[in-house]
Amino acid sequence: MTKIANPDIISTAKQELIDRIKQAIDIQGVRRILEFQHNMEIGENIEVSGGDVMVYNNQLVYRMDFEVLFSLSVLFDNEGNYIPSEDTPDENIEELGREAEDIIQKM
Amino acid sequence: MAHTIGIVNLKGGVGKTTTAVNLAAYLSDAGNRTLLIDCDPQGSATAMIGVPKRKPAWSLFDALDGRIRLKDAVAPAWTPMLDAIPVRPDFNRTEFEDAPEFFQKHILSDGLNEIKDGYDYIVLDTPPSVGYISINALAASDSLLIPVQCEYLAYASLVRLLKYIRHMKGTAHPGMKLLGVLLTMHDGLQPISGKIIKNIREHLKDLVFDVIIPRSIDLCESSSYGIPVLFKSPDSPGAVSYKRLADEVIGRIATSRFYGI
Repeated sequence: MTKIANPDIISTAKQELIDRIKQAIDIQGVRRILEFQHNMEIGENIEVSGGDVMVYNNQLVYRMDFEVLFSLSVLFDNEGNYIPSEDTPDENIEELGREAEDIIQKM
Repeated sequence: MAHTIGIVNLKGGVGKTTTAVNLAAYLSDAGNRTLLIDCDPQGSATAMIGVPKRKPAWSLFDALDGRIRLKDAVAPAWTPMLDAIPVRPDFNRTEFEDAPEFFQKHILSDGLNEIKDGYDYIVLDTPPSVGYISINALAASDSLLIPVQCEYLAYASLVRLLKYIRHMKGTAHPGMKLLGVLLTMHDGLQPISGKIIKNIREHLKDLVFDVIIPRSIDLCESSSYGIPVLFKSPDSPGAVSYKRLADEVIGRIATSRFYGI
């Protein structure tokens, strides 16, 4: 194959383009899009981790990758036993279950 | 002759339309002649079957009010094995709900009897309300599939729906059967989701389908594109789960595995 351009320069130029695009990104706008897409709250801890140029639906597009830092927590007691969070009392769920089962059995 | 499946829940936002459209798509993809009927005046299922862009000449409600025969409202959908009866999105729902004398509860089932021989399965996407449209849909259904979101209020709504079905069995539709309860929008990050699944399986046992539909970006995206997930992201978790549902539905109907008989 006949080489007609310097690949190092192409690669460098491509990386420079990605780096320039990184700087131009509205990170808060991206945060809102990702929060909508994934139905979760991302907060301020988001940063660009990489990117590439690619073809999508017959047009040249830019794919940017992001890393998001989550703060999650769990509860446990002095014995080290995990304590599940209670958002709905178990007895309320159980009451619904019994009622549903009763209806089905009598149907 | 077709088996008619009513996708029902009196609560909105539990995945009825997503289930109706994707179940119909996978039933047809398995080689079954399938008809999807949008009984919800909001027209959400209609928007997902490609019909609105072709400006349907007729709507389900033209047939229900006697202007045309039901078979004349059938329009081709995405594949040769899948047809649909749309509704016009600009339909004035209140007008119909306020005019109960306009309908008889068996108009839909009478119309379906004329076209049932042409299909293996008919799937009805029903409105999230009690009215003459939903009563028609219930009366026309051979069995009912109930999608239930894995959340507390949706579980409470299931109990209300079961009471309503029990009432209908005792009055207007004694032959009503349950095909199954489908758990939808499962989110593994939400502890309540797991609790609901565990409890509902303990109490309703085999009535609950094995497959659980996950909360999935692919299902949301396919809705926004107006196509079944089968044609958008066939390898996604949402797509795989709806394919499994279609397999379970086919198996249950083939073996007459119904509940509430």
